[in-house]
Amino acid sequence: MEWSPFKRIVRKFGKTPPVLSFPAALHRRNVYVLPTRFGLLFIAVLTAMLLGALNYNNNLGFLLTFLLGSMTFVSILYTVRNLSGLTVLSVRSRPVFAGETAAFKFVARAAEPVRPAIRFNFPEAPEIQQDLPAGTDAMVVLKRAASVRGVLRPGMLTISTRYPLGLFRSWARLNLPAECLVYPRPLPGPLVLTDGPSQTGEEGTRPMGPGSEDFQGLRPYQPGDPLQHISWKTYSQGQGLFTKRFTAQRGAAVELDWARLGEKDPEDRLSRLCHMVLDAHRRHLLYGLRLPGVEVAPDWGEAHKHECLRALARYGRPEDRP
Amino acid sequence: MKPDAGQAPAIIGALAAALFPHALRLPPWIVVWCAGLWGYGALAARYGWRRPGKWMRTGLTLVGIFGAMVSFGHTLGGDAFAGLLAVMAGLKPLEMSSYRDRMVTAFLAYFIVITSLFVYENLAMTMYMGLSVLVTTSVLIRLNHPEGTLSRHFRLSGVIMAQALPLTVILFFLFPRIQGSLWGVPQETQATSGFSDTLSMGRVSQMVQSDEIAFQARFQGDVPERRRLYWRGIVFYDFDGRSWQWKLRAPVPMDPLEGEDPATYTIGLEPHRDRWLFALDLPATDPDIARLFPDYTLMRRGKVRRKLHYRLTSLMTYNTGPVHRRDRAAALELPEGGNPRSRDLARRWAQGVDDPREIVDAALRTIREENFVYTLSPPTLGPEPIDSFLFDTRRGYCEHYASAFAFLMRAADVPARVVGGYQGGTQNRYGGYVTVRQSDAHAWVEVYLTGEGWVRVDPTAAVAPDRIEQGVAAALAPGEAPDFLAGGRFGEEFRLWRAIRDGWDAVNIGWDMWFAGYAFEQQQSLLQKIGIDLRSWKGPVRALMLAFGLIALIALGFGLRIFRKPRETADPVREIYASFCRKLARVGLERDPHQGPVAFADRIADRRPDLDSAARGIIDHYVRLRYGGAGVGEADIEEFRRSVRRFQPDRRSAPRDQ
Repeated sequence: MEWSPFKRIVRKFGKTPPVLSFPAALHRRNVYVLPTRFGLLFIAVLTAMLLGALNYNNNLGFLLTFLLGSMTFVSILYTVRNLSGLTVLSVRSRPVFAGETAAFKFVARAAEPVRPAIRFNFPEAPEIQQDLPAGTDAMVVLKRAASVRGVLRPGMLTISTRYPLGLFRSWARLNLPAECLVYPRPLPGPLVLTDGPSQTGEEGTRPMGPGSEDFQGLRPYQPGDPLQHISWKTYSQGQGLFTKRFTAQRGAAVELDWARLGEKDPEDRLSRLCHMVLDAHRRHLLYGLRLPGVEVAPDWGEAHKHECLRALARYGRPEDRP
Repeated sequence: MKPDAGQAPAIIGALAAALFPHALRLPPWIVVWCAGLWGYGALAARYGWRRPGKWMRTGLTLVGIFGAMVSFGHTLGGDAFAGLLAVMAGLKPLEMSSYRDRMVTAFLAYFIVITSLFVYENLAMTMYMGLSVLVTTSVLIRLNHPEGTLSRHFRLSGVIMAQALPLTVILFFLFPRIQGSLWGVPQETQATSGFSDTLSMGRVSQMVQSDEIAFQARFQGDVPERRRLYWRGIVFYDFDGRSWQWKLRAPVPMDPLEGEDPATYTIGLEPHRDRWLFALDLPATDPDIARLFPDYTLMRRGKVRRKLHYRLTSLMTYNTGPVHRRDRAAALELPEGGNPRSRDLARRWAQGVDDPREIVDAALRTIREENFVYTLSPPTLGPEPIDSFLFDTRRGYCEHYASAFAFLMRAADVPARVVGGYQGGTQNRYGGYVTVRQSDAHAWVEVYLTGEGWVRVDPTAAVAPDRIEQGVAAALAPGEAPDFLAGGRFGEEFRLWRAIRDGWDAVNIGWDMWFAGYAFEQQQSLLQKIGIDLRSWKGPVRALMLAFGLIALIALGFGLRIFRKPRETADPVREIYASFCRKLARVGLERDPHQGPVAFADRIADRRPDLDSAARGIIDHYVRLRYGGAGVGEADIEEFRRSVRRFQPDRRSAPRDQ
């Protein structure tokens, strides 16, 4: 590869800085400013104006040229000020299925004054522009297509602005710990069940009942449990929130097993399992998940569903941070 | 509403504001062209009409350029340039679909503003320029922040302009100016009224038809009486029988002028595209920008193409001393033949007279006492113009009288020359200055008298004393003066209007002398005071360094304010809690930024059980003040402050592990 000082500079500037922790603030060491192409064009126009004023010795021409030049200069300070003192407080994202769009929700706060026309973007994703109010937290939602199962890391967040005149752009690139869990894309197919480890018996599909007759017991409430299953009686006795457990068939825990599926491509198998998890959850089954090297004990409910999906999303991706 | 729907009218507004000063000078069809296309553009944006396609736009562009070529011909002067820009500005709103197009259009508006500055260099234009920049800049802000309100954009635009003003002033005064021009100034084909190097019969009376300003003079001290205001421009020696010619003459040695009654004044001369400058009879000093010739005229090296300011001292009572023999010979020269009747008359006067004063008096007496008429519309003169005027028509304007008088003097062997310039001027009631218009153009004669030098003789004063005492309008027969001079008929209203105009003129001239007059020479003398000499190559570099240094200083001040650590809003409870956290941080218990008060209390309990009770008391109090809802009393906050002040953790038992 040929040696190029320019590329070296680009690489030095382009290299990924360490991951920041929250709150991530913009200050004079990480905010850069350069003219936009319109800024360069405008400087060229001003130069032409200056030459004209010099040639014709036109004092009004000088006045206008110097006024516009000074305003351009002042606008640089405005552009930089528009970013400095901005803080990103947190980022959250809900897991999505592959093929959907991941939404990263940032909470940003700006010290006085109001910050108009701030742009946020991730690489290869559409830019959004919005005003940030002063002194209060503002929500910024950045969307990005999640095409691959696993952990989606959208890359460096670029916060930039061209406000007020569009002649200069100031920007900061933040390497934030933003990530979104991407579940496999559900692949419809028959629900292949294996009996749970507590029982041995025949395998195959079973007819599924409504799953609400057989009361099994109480367990502490978890967020996501259906409201109608909450044991209001115990709650009214002041014992705390509990959820009533039912099973379709007493003790009939089933297992969704990687080894039982015929697909060749492991991703297809994961997609099938994903669909089966969703199916089993919808049918109120007591189900567990078995992947090579990973096992999720049978349980049910919203939290359990997500635990299974999480296991599917992370499967085979040890490099992904938890 | 799409963002560009709200932006098209804004951009059209900026273009209209920028083009407005040109409106009167442009061919009317361009004004209609812009109004029509802008109207369509604004409505199309409002109602979502189709914009013309690419072919349509190309067609319109060609039509516009063709129209401009027809209107302006092949000359590529300033007007043609402004016309082309206006044609483009008319088309621009039709193709503003992208951010890029809109930005470029805003730049075009700025550029149009500067072209209008080259046409009108006056105070009104300066003020209008400020307005136009304000509008265009708000539009530029709007393009980059479509969500904001227009009033906000206007305000910000004004603030930015105000903040840029000090830098503008620094650059204006310190940015090195040049002498002359970079690539030359194109010749204007259009003739301007004013003196040329030929004085023929009827030339001056033509100039009277124009009320254009020739120059303005501001006197230091009182303005001299009107009848003494002879503004000298050109001196004519050569007469060919019909007209007087100016020719460059070989220089003769010249002594400093002797005299008294000094008058010091500054002249702001409008460009007249010739080389001479005007000065009150007779200039004693020569300004830096021109040379004083032995006939007491001032001449520049180049033509006056921009407004020129110069300061002079004249002596109004003077003696030019003995004449050089070459000048004397030239001032006696007459064509071989022609005008025999005049020659005879002059010879008769000269017979047996020793003192040339008597000849001058005889000639003046003739003009005064014979039936000569002072008029703007003299009859055509015959093949012997002097004879024809003196003996037949006897009707003429100042150049007729001056020509004939000088001819008679030369024929009587008295050295004489014709001087072209202005006489009088309008004195402004609000200041010590005089506005001289083309209508004040005048020609008079100077004769050489031994012992007195060159003496001014004005034959017009003999035929029409009012011309000198009161001005052209008073001297002419009723109805003959041009409308703008015959103002009296408007009565009271007109007087008020005159007062307003005088006031405005006074402000304008002050601005003009102070601002428009600032050029290389003025900058040179300003910078010399702080030790920068622009004539050496280091001078301009130093001036620039000084300018940028000052700007950097201002920018630093701004920058420090911008990057000041953002202060939390004044909240006593939060500040007291922060000081509590600082105290704990000093002993190794730092609160994580995201850590809430209760979690922090748990961590303190975990790591420094000895501080637990005190810290928990404070934190509980904080939670109560912070999140306890309404009704936080001053006393409660004061108590919280005291308890935090009392809290003094020590390092005695260091945090366990970690």
